[in-house]
Amino acid sequence: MILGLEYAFMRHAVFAGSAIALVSAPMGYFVLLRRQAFAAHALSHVGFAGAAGAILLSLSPYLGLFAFTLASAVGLALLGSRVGERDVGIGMVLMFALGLGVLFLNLYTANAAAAIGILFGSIVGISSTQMWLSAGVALGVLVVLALIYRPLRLASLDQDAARGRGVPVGALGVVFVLLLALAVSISVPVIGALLIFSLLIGPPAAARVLARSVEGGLLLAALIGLAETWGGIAASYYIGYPASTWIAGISFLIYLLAAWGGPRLRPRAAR
Amino acid sequence: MRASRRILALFLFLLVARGAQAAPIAVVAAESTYGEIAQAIGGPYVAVRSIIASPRIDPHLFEAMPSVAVAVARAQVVVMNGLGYDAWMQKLLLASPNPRRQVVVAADLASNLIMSDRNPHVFYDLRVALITAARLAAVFAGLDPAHAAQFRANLAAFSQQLLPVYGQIEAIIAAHPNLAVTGTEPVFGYMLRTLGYRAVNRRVQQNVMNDTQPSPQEVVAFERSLRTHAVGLFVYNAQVQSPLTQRLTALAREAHIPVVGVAEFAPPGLPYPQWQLATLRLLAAALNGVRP
Amino acid sequence: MTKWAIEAHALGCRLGARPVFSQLDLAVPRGALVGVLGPNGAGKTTLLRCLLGLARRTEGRLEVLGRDPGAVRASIGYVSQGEPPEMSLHLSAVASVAAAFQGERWGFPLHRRRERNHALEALEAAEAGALAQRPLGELSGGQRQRVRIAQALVNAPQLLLLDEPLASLDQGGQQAVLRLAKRLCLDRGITVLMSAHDLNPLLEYIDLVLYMANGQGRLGSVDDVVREDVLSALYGLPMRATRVDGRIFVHPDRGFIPELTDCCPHCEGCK
Ligand SMILES: Nc1ncnc2c1ncn2[C@@H]1O[C@H](COP(=O)(O)OP(=O)(O)OP(=O)(O)O)[C@@H](O)[C@H]1O
Ligand SMILES: [Mg+2]
Repeated sequence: MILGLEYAFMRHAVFAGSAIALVSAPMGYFVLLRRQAFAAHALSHVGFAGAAGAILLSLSPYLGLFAFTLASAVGLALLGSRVGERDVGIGMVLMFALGLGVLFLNLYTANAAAAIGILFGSIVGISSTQMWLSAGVALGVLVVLALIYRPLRLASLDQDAARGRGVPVGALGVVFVLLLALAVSISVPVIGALLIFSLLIGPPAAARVLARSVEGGLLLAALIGLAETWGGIAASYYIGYPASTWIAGISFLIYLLAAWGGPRLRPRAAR
Repeated sequence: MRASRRILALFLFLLVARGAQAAPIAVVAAESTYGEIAQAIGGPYVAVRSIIASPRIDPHLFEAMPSVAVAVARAQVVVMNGLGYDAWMQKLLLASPNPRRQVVVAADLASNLIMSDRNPHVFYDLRVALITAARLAAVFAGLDPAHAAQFRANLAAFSQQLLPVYGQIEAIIAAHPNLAVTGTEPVFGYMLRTLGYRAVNRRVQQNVMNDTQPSPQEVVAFERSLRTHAVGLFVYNAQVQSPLTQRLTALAREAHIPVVGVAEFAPPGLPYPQWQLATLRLLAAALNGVRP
Repeated sequence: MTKWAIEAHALGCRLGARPVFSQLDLAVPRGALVGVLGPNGAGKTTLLRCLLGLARRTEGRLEVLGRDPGAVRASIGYVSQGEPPEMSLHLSAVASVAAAFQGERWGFPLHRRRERNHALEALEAAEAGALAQRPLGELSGGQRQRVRIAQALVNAPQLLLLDEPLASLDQGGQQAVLRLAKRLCLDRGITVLMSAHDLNPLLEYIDLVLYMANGQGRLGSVDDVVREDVLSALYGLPMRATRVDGRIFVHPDRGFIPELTDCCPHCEGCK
């Protein structure tokens, strides 16, 4: 069978990877619109501290990851909303959380591989529970995103105009960061905190150069994300080397092609 | 009629002959240490693949690739260390559920031998190795009953080969009893326990293992124990080094404290008893003042 | 339906502890083009936000389109001062205008064709139809200004609030925006409030002027408001309105910049 789909772990990898790609693309597109890449970076790294704390308490590292990421999201949302003023808040939250993570590791006497492993992720080590959890969370995030879509789109493009139409801009920002925290929490154990941008930022960044409308960008980002995930898993299966490396590499390549080819394609498309 | 009977007989013979030469049992070992033990017990009737066999890999931080996951998915027997040492293998097992696969976890077999700080490097306890070997012999016998006697004989031979290792241990204890020992990581903890040695500066070692920073006081205490010769032996992890561990090792050498480097798993192709013996000989040489 | 688009009596507003303006009486008839003038910090932006219900009225009475401000937001188009920092330069003009169409409603827009048609109409109305397919990043400042006005027009507003739409436009650009505003008043019966710093370009277009200074404001025709006695009362110091060739220059009695003259409300010399 192609892609080794006769193996449960490959089915898990493809299914969970697709779910994560599909949720990362629209979330990442809004992250770019809202200039919140630093927040996404921070959220992907605080999960490590949560995982370390959880194993210290003999809990599942995933539980710690979710709890810490969501709690940090609330912190980020409270520490400023306007472009420019929030980076300091994010830096503070990230600093504090990582400091706690190092402390947890320091207090832990047994082997902490489970916590450190979270930073790297493992696409071929996805259990069926984790797969269904990822898919469920991804679906939930997408549903909420669809529900808040129009106000979020306007608030992301022009806060003042959105406020003028009565959009609760602040509350939307909080909901969005919480959704981002959920999307990041399911991605980190699979693709790794260090490479999370390959699905969260790479596809939307390429799509943004090529598409001229928000919806076109979302669709294109989702397609690119899926292509990267499948291509990365396939390359890793047939050729070797970790899948995350392939996904990051393909992501970078597609972005370069888009950035180089996009401006050359566009004048023709516009005509 | 007669011809057809002959053909049938030939067919049955071939069937029996094929059965007798069944494919070897597919065994996947998380680390080469356990791969060597499985090979010693299973002999030609097992096909062993050790995932981590390169001394350059830090087994605490290992990202599996699809080829590894495929091997795990196909394996009839998986043997691993446990205690979070090979957490990645736990993930791979969950990702490829298979009720017929038998999983042998060394640390779980010998839970009464585990140190209170849950030091994961249980393979430096010869008893854990023997218990694991015995368990593998039973598992192999269940999968390939025709060669059960062979597996039993291999297990007996394995335990015989451990006798010279115990002999070396006794010789070291006799010459250098009751040492206080420090090191860069708690890798050698179980062997130190067997030797009756006292491990000091454990916090620094645990922190190095978990890639976090020890506090300055702990490092100060560590360095003082080296300078004041409060310790009689310094053990470093030859596989995982950082600026801190290199500095501490150099400090121990400067203070003329016996220094020995130990590995986290057997070099591929070296049987477990020989590996232990080689390590202990290095230790004895260091304690006797012979610099490598 | 009342005759007045905006009706206020003794309206006052404070931001934090700072009173921005008070005792403001307004009666703006529907379909009027009103110029809102005054020095920096006079409260022009605050007044517009107050009409939108974004800045809270702290005293007096205010009705917008016959209702409480905030209740009629859906009928108000608002173009804030300066370009929004969130502006996404990759999007086409039509996409960014479409994002404002019913942007306060929840859910995903299922009728994208309709959204787009409204956006194209609004661009036509803002005389920016030709720019529809071009990315915002490739438009000039004046062209972007027109796209932003189209964004405010996409929900068929009855009241249009333009905060300094003429800033950073050359004379031709200013004339174009003013002509556009006037046409919206005449053709569509939209009431337009436009804040500005220079009265002269507005003179031949506006029906009324609201002059704000020193925490006070006066609404009326140009001839009623831009008078030395009215302005002196507003500023609290002797003011001159010099008319030269149909242009009006408002300045303090003895110079152009109040800080540089020896005349101020507190010194003896002027009294
Ligand atoms: N968020 C705020 N909190 C407190 N005071 C504010 C705030 N925003 C503005 N102000 C003050 O309110 C007053 C009016 O500001 P506003 O922005 O309305 O002036 P403006 O007339 O629009 O000026 P400009 O011509 O510079 O745009 C100013 O003195 C300003 O300092
Ligand atoms: Mg202003």
